[in-house]
Amino acid sequence: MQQEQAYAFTSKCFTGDMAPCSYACPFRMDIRSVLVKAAKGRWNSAYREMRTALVFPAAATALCGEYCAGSCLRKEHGGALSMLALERAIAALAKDKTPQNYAIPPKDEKIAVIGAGPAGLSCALSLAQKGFRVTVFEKESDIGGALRKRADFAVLREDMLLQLSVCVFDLRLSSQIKNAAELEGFDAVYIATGAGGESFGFNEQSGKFFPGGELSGASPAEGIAMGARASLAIEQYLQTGSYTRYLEPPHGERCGRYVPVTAADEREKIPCPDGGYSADEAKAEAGRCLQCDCTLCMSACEMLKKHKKTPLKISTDVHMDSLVRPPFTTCSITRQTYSCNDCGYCSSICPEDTDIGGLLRFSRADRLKGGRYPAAFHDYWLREMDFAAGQAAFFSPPPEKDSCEYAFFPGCRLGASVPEHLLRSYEYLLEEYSAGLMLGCCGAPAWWAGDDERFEANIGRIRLGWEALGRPKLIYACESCKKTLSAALPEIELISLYSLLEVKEKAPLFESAAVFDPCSAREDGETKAAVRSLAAASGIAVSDFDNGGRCCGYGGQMRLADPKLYSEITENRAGMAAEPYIVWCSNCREVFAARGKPCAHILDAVFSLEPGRVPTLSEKKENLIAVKKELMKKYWNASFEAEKAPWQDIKVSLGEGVQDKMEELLLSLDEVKQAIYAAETEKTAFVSDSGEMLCRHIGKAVVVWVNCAKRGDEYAVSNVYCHRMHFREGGAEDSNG
Amino acid sequence: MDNNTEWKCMKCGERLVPRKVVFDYMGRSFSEDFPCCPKCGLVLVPPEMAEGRMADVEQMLEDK
Repeated sequence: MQQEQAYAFTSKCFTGDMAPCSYACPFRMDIRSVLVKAAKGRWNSAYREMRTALVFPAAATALCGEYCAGSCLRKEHGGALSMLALERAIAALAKDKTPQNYAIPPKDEKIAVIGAGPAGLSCALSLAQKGFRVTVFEKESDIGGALRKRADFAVLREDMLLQLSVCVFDLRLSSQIKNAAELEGFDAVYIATGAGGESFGFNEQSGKFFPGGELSGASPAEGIAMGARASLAIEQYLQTGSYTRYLEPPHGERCGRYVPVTAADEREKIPCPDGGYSADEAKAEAGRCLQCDCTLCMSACEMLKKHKKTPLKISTDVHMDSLVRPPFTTCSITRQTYSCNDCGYCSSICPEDTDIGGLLRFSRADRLKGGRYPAAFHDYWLREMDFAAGQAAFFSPPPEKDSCEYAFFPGCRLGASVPEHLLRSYEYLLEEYSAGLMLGCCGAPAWWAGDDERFEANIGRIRLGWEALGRPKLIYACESCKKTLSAALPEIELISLYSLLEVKEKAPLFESAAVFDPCSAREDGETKAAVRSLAAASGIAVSDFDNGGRCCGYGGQMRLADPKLYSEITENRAGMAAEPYIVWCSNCREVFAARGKPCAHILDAVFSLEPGRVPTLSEKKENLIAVKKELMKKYWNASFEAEKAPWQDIKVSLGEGVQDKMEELLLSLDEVKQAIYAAETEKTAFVSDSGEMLCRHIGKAVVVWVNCAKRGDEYAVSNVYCHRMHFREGGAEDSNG
Repeated sequence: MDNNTEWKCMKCGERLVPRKVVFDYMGRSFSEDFPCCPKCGLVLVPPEMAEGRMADVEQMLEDK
């Protein structure tokens, strides 16, 4: 994975970037940070932060044009922050103003600064603090430059001398430089001779000469800021011979990209008395700062909230994980990579289209290719997909036809979850649209797992089947199928089942209900409206609830990656509306029904069906085969027998709690039977004197253990457990993994 | 299953003895004493290990 590939998903994110006020400030002061401290009354700390940015706090404050106020997002919410009054209050309230001294070893390079105004001294101070040998030449008999004309100069001078007191440099007053030749012995020269001052012919940087301050057109305040920037440019020039631009502050293109403040209180600006803010007033005013930063995705998504990583940090970690070579280095973002619902909600609310779901899916695909992935997280779903797209698949034109204009693509979940949903829908579509049938899976499980090879192979099968049916319009029942197929097979015209159905018999399942749309239908307003019409036509009073495109929790099949998070998300979604839910995604129905939330599928309302319980994993597979059998027999007069695994006829009874545990761990009855079969045929099991058996099935991702006892011709299972580690048996070379 | 159940290898009929077993997960390897058949080396992972220490290590590696 290239670094650029990981950052492409999040490059425009500005979370953690400077706030608009800081971009407007010539000093790029971190105003948010200063105000957090001030709001807590930490005056010394606020002052230190302020001084670091302003260099000469008294002079900078005196010259400040309060540019930040124009960018303050409080403008419309009680008035922009009174930053200037706050700066003065912080300076007045701070007790410890001792300048910081850094023990940096002296350097050999000699630097001349021409002009002892605030701009020249700002540069001289920064360079001298870094250990350079600085000489300041001033033609007048005092420091201060243009500031000397001010009435408050004595106060500003005192503050400048205080800040300068920590470093050593050679200040030569009444010492005028007349030509550049006099500066031969210096390695670099900063020329800050003020507005209309002597430039020695250097209006732009040239070799070791760096003009700056008001001489270069800066305002007095900008001159101070520029002096500090120029010191960095000079340092870089001395080290490398090149330098970064210093005449303009860092670009502020990101300024103004902050999301509109929607939840701001309307606290009014605290008026500043003539004598300045008191401590309490300053605290209250600083406390009005909104601490502008975009945390839209991180505060909306449970997964992002839990892991507390910014989108850019996620990109960094994803890229770093792609370079990991176990056992020498370890990953850092595995759990999060597999905990995403891939629902696109974060992207839908991001003003810059940051796509964390896309990034994490990209990472899963990369990890799978590199073999650095926890196989257990998606193993069950992939096996289920293979079954739905394999044995349970069936593509056919309508009975007695060779091709069709329409074909029904119900997806892998509709018939698995409630066979009647599929059977009744197809009956309707055959009668009304002479629709053909394409039983299979769109491949979403492979997409979520990052298994691109499996995904493409499945798409290839769908394309072939679709072409064989005469390239019909596909009627889909699942919005995830629509999302997947429209991206992978854009040549196929897709129509929602729910836009074609009609309610023939009014039998309301609920008096009133809220429609919980699938997340993949976020942009599909037409189908959302069609579903509401169907619910209303069945006699249900539909509320105006809209889930805003949230995922029920099923998306991304992240359940095993983080069961606690899955539980939190499903609980939150179940509680979004008090009314029962009408859903139109089989996964949403199962998620909510499993939580005990009253809910029904829209097809229950359309066909007057009683909402059923959630089938077990094994029942879902059986349902898929049963539906295929029934349809083939009913409409094509054909028979079908599913492949029979050698362990299929083993009789098993599950003890108390075992079924629930299997559902939680996503262990199927098939795996239990395989363990018993291995014991029967290969004797790879353990027995106790009392006749108990401990059988095992070593799967690709999980090792399943079955505790049972044979009672007649049946195995009574008392416990099932599993682990994801694989052991080496019979020597280090013979790994069962 | 009783923790004290004494298991025998179904194939060999031998009582199990503790042996060093190497486990692999996500590119890492660990070794620990586990009950094994002294004859054929068949490894038994008791539930308290699978759902206890092994699950902890799995979680730890997945958290990275």
